[in-house]
Formats: sequence, C-alpha cells, structure tokens
Amino acid sequence: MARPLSSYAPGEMLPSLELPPLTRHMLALYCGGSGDHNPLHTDIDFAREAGHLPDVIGHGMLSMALAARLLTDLAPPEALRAFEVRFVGMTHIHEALTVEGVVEERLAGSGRVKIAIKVLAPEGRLILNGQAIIDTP
Amino acid sequence: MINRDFIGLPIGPFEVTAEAGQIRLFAKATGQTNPIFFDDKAARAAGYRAIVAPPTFVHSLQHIGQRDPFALFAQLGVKLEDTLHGTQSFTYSELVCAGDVIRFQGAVSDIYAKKNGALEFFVQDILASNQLGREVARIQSTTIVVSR
Repeated sequence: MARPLSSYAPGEMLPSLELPPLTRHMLALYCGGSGDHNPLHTDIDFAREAGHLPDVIGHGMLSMALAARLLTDLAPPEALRAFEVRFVGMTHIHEALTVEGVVEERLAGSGRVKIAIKVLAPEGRLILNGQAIIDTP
Repeated sequence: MINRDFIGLPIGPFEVTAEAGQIRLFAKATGQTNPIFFDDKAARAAGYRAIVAPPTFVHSLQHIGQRDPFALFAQLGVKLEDTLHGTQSFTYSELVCAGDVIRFQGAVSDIYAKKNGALEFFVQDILASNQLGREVARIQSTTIVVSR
C-alpha cells in the first residue's frame, strides 16, 4: 500500500514512476484507446513527409496520462480536483520516461494538496510540467 | 494567420457514451493496473457506479465523440501537421464511469500570436457534463501553430 498522500510535507518528493522505453506498440494502443488518430504518432511516412520529423513521436496526451498514473497510484481518482500541464518537449521512440512529483503546498482550510509534476526523458530533458490539486482525507 | 473572427466559434454540443471497452483499452494503453479501471465488479465493490475512466480519458471522449475531431483545425485553416499541443488543463467535478453519456459544449475562447506571428495559438474552452446534468469537468487546451 502506498504511503498516504496526507503524510507528505511540503517539499517532499513523491515516489517516481519509471516507465519502460516507449515502443511503437504503445503508441498504437494509445491511438486506439484515446481516439487520437493523428498519424504523426503512428505512421512514420507521415511523420517524415508531413511532419518533417525523423520518426513518429509520442502523443503529448499519452505523457499526461502517464503523469496522471503517478496521481492515481497515490489517491483515488475522485480525489483529483484539477490537473494542468504545459507540453515542453517531444517524446521519441525508445525513450524511457520518468514521472516525478513533489508536494508543493497544503492549501489552507482544506485537505487539499498541490503537487508539482514533471515528465522527463533520459538525461533529464523536460517533456511536460504542470500541477495537480488532490483532496486528502 | 488565423482569422481572429473565429474567437467565440462554438464547439459542439455533442454527446458520446463512455463505453466500458474503450475505457479498458485506454487504461491498458496508459499502463493503469487498478482493477477499478478494468473490471465492473471490482469497480462496484469499491463503491463506483461502474468501471471508472482514468483522469484524462474525458479528453479522449472528445476525439471519440466526433466524426472528424480535427475538423476544427481545417475550419481555422490550420494543417494538423503544423500543430503542437501546448497546454491542457482539467478542473474536475465528477468522475466519468462506463455507460455515462458525456456532453461537450464550448468555444474557441482565444487566438493570439507570439514571435511576430511565427507562432500562433488557439485556445478551446469546453464544459463536459453527464446524463444527470451534472458538471463533469472544465477542459482547456491550447494548440500551437508553427509557420513553415
């Protein structure tokens, strides 16, 4: 059982999520699962010709969904009040992403905590950053 | 340049059912392991109405609920391959569970440029509500358009 979110002090880091290397299969599953059929993420010919990229890239929203896993691993889904991110970098095939979270603050007068969240590619290259507000019991 | 007259352009309304199989595939694709995202019995035993959708699935429903989710891009005169997802935010009120009928309604709330027009941005603000008439989430996304 994960340590309860209410036990974290501001500034404390949450358990990171170390993800396996991104495969084409994962992108194909996310294409079908999310309904985002943008061929930039699954069709290397399209990525090269139309996208001017060397290969397909990961969906930004896949990175956000993986970041959400850090949160749903710590708290039930209904506890999540808000979640916002800024997409900073592209994810490339075979990159192993890491999701990191830090408790930023406890919001006064409620059990809510604000969490700063980041998704990083190898060598610490920033993929996205953002924040979440979660209710704690 | 995107015509600024498109600020205020309505998005929707449209409705889509959150299907159990679609939620399961989304949960698998995003590496979820909690049975509440996969199994109806486990979800009910944990006190939910049905299989629970992971937090960002409500964005997927916008794709699933439209015949051409990128029609807005064409309407704005933007090529899909020239776009990047800039920001995404959700403010949540209610969970989405399997069988829910989610209604989306919103608008293009802003269009602006940076770097002397080399980058343009359009913002979509959308309210998702469920079949009980309750607010599910407020969703905002920013799309970046790169000039080539």
